[in-house]
Amino acid sequence: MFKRLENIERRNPFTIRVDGEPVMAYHGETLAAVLLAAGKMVMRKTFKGHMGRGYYCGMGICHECLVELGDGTKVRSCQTLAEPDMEIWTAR
Amino acid sequence: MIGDGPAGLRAAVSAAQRGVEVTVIGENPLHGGQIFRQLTPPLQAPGHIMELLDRRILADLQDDLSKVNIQFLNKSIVWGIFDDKMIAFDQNQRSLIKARKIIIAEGAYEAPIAFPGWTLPGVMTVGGLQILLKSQGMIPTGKIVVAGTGPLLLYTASQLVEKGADVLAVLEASSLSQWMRWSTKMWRMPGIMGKGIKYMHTLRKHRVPVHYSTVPLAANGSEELEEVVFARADKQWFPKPGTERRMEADILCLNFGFIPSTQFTHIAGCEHICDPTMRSWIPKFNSHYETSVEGIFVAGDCTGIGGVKKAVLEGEFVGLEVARQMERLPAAEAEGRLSKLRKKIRAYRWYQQFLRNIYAFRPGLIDLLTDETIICRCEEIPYKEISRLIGNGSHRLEKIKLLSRTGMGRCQGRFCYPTLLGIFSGILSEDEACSQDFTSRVPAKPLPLEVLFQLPDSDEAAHDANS
Repeated sequence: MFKRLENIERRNPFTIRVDGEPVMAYHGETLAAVLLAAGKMVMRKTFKGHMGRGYYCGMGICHECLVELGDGTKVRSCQTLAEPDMEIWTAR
Repeated sequence: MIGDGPAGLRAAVSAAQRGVEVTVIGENPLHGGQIFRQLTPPLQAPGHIMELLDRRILADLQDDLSKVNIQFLNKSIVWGIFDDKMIAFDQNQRSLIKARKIIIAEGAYEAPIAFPGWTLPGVMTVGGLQILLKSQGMIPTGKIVVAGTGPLLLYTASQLVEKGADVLAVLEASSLSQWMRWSTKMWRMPGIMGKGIKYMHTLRKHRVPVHYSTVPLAANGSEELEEVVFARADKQWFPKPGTERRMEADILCLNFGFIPSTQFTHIAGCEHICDPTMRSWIPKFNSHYETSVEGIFVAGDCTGIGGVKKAVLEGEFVGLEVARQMERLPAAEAEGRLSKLRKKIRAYRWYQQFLRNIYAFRPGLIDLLTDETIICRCEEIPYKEISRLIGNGSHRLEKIKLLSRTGMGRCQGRFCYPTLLGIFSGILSEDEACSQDFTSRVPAKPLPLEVLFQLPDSDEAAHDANS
């Protein structure tokens, strides 16, 4: 679990839906940061062994932090900025 | 310019100052690479969140950037570099750009260290944690263990405790006496020595123990990290039986050094040299930093891990060299400036060697592997599969890749090839270990098929480059 540091200016919070539940996010935050702040450490499950995987390299090259968008596309949560009304599914 | 870190930005500025038309292609919303990552706008803070190690360099770069005309293609993922220096990238509307010269400054990434449980959520790289802190203003709430080797561990741990995080311990693989010996070399960089002492003081003040000669043995947990097992190690980092200890933890962040990124140099068809000591490759380049492919240059950590100052000097060198080759810099002036830069770069060779010494692969790391330890994270290939293939006579990385799919996944071998090179270095002859390489094919990163369908035909592509 992660938390937001206090001395940072964050504007206009909005909601995204994560696994069907509303979760708060701020502009400039990546999906990974939003998920980690919401306690979602398991971001995807592997294809063969259904192993839970999460945030590892943080710079977009390991592809472990993939989450599924509402339309089924998989994105790297560490490289994708959260946007209002996004729908995210984890552990898929 | 592929890569927008210190080397890339410096090269872009040097070339642009001479009138060369420069386009910088980077993946992130903001340029700066990894080391200069800051809060992603509109997130804002009065100062920098983490003490920036090279604030002056960033300030100088930003100042220079403001005075030249450079086209930035941000949020752009390069996926192909073709024979005619046509670069394919994914960024919504734009997708192809033809270059006369290409400078690749793709930097480096953290060396993967495989051990049981290293793929558990909660186990991450030190760099990954720093990104959450620096660019997102996020800090872990639970118990943190920092493990690996090198000054970055002390830096990270002390930044974390100063912000109120609960760091249980720092696990340093090398011994205290080894560090005492290495620190005698640091007289050349008194600033760094002073900082190192400051970090150690901070950790002592917050009662964070630093365990030397200690390596992680396992990360345990059912869904997420719950416990870290570690042990004392000898000089070659072999864990000593009977010294295992456990600690409940929520986050384990690791750094055992860095691997030069050679994804784009491989895609571009450049030749590489394999360096088993550092479990990595670097592109072959001549005294002008030109690779084996004419017109493609390299600079920065991808030519060898050497820190920010070396990266900036190499960037400046390559920017000027490109300007010279494009006849924007008279030969006489070029000669003078380039040879001065060469001398300055050579002056940092000791630092490169220092980093090689501290981050060199130690055979004890292979001792951490058990049969079930995942080697290829993407394709979920366990160590027993790799051992079986090697035992059957597969001594080429490319062959193991084809037979097991190791390296064929989304990360394209970044987080498994270094471990394979480490395994090879213990088993194969020096010649065999040093001659390993892999083939890269487009796309360099996973792409939706529609990106290919949207590619313009050749006439449009020529127009694209001129606009």
